[in-house]
Amino acid sequence: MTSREERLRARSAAVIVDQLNLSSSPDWHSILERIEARLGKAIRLVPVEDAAWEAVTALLLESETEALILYPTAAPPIYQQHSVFHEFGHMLSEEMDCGILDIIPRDLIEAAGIKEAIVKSAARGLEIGEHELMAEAVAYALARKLINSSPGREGVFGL
Amino acid sequence: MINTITIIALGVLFLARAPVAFRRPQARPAWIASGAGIAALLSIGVLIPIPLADSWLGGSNLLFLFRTGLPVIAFWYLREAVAVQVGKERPRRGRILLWALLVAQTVLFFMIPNRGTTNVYFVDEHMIYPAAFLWACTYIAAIIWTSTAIISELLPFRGKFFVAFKVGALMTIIGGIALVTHCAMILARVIEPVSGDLAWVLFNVFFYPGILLIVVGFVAITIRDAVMLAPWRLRALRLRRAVSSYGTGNSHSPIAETMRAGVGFDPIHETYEATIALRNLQYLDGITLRAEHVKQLVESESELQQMTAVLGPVGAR
Repeated sequence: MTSREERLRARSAAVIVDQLNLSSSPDWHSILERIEARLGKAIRLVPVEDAAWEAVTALLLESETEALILYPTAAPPIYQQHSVFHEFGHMLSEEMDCGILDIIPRDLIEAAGIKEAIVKSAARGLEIGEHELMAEAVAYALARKLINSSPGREGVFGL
Repeated sequence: MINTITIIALGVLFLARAPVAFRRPQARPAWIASGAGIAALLSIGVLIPIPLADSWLGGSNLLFLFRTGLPVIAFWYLREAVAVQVGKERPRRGRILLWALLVAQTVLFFMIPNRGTTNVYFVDEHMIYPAAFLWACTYIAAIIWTSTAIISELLPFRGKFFVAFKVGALMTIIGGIALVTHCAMILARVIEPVSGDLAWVLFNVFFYPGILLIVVGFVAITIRDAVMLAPWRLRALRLRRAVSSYGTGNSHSPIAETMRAGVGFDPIHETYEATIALRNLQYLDGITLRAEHVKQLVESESELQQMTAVLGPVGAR
């Protein structure tokens, strides 16, 4: 059973994704580009080969002009993608807090090469608050767009 | 008989596809087309006798206006569905043309003199009037235009499921031309209003069988999709069972619940949800997954990856 809150959250997430005005058959790159255009800043994806932060499956660091999304390469690609979508969810829903910076090692942040002061940050996996659930709902909404746009999934005449 | 088969097939499609039409915008045009198609067939006397159906509308032959308006709506949305099927944006902007066609039909219909009371030969008997002829021409022009658009959209595609659409649309064009010819001959008093001339025979041979062929194509694609989804239903079921087998006490399970709230019964989405939920258990909750579940996960991830243009090595652009 799904609660009313979950349904409302999923609906809000779908609205957020619809506002991206993606084409009827978006791919990964077109989603990325549309979010960059929407937020007016470049998004840099940084694969991280570090087993030490397995409990965090993606990390978002945002400055005034760019956003860095760090994700561990140990996970399967589909899970990496979902974790990155989750961070997109934070960016699009504008629901984030900076508590993560106190936990994540400084050398990891420095290694990512962000040049300006971090104004926003988020991480997937450390807590389950409303922010996290909303970002996750956006991640699923984005995944649905990709799944529905794949060949044979038009669903125009099918079930 | 043909019309009865068509209406039953469309009825099954309409009911079976209602959930997907509700969930997925791109499924709606074909669903609306099937609904309008059912209503159109009912208006030509299939299942419900014309006098009875017309009596519900006041007994003034108004049913014949529905008989020309509903097929236009059905073909219009079928054209939209075909455009989306071949990867184009849903052509919404032309919708004003649909309304213009329907309004034109209505105006011309009400300009027909002596409409009288319910008469199964209303069309033939009134074709001696220019307004009735123009009404028929407006109807057939809309059908021919949408059928031509359907053929044109599908021409570059060789899929066997599209053959039924292409041939069916071509047959309705031929049938439509035959009907206009039949009506023109009545208007010109070349033939009697109710006659079995060659044009009328050609109309009956091509028009409704053409529509039946389009419905056959529709059913075939729907069945193909159902067959394609069968393995996904199995995957979703297995993975859901796997998730449940670890209990619900893990701290991150609510994350996976968010997807179910927005999606419902699509087995590919369910597979995705269950895949992410299982990996959450592994990565976020530190649970060691059982070997059989890992095997199922790897198989599902591989299938999902082929569908979603996954991030993979493109991470750093």
